[in-house]
Amino acid sequence: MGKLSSLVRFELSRLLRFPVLEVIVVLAVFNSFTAYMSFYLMGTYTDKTGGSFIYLIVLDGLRRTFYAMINYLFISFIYATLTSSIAHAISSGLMKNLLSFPYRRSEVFIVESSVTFMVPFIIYLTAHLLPFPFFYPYPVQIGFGWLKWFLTVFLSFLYIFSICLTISLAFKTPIPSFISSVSILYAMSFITAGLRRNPLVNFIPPYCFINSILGHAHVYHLIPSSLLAIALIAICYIYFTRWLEL
Amino acid sequence: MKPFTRLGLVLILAGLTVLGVVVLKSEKHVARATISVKAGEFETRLFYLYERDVRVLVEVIPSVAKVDIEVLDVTQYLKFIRGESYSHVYAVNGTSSIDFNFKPLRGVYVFVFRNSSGKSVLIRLTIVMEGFEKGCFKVGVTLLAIGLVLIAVLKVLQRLF
Repeated sequence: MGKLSSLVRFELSRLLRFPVLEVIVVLAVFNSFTAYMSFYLMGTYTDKTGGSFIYLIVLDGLRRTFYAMINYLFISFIYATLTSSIAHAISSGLMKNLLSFPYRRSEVFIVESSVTFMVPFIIYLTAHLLPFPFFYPYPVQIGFGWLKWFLTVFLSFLYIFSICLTISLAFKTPIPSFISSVSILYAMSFITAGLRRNPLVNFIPPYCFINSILGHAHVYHLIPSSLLAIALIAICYIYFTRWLEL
Repeated sequence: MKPFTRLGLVLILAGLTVLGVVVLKSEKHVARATISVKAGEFETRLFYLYERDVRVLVEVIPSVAKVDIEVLDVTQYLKFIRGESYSHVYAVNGTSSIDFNFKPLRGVYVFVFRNSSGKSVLIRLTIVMEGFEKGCFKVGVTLLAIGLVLIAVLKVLQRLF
């Protein structure tokens, strides 16, 4: 356990070196506050029945907050940067040095990918959910209505991370992997934008995530993109632990 | 870079980002709504207002008709729909057009339009918001100040020990 925690510390300090952490925080805070401050009109609530309208307002606010987290522009950029640093570790020989320590390849892969995936996810969640009571200071029991949105955001981040990780291991050099990751994710986003009126778009990222939060798609619409993400991470794991030559 | 210095830097950058967003979002925002109120009834509209300078313009059509207007916060509105006695942020009775300013706290406000005349009326509501959002501005300045103080304290401690 001590061996793994020292590996986690090393990976954290390497991946979040100055100014990577700062850039992630700035993008997350910018995204969060821009979304919170873009909300003006509550629509035409004509509820005259009772106090439940506050619950609806707070729940709607929470939905908007989760929706704001799926910002393809920033997330793609952040994951492309972090995973290209894995590619840099491979191309610069740092990974070879790391594996000369008593760490198994599987341990290095799991720690490296977990840290790369979780850090932006946690920073984004914190930056978006921490100001929520500030903007919605109402004492309301929300329940578990938000779990679907949380799952959607998690799967959206996992999907982007899996594509960036796969590309970084495929190229093994930082700049091409960064450019390719960002280009592929944007290209897919633009292509699916053309299919927006097609009912199949509910299965295709990023609209499956967007529509899931907006309530136009069900959780089962997220299955193909989630399976793709898991399959890509599994392929990366097998490649890294068995075939990657350093 | 030491962890606490890094934390200070992150707080400074977060504060500057919040201030940047406050400046970006300080442009004038106009929200418009047209509301039909039947004779003897009332209509409500909910708006999320920020701690900015808010100007409200109400125009009743036809101009000879008069309505009562109330602006309530959430607590006041809850009392209103429960039929309890309530205060209000702003209220005016029997008006056909009005233009007023008020400084809301950040949150949901309810505009109540009561038509006590014998005919249906149409109400044109315009809400103009401008200026810096004061609450977010304070958050930005606080984050910036905490970050600066943290870094300054660390520098002092470094020199002392």
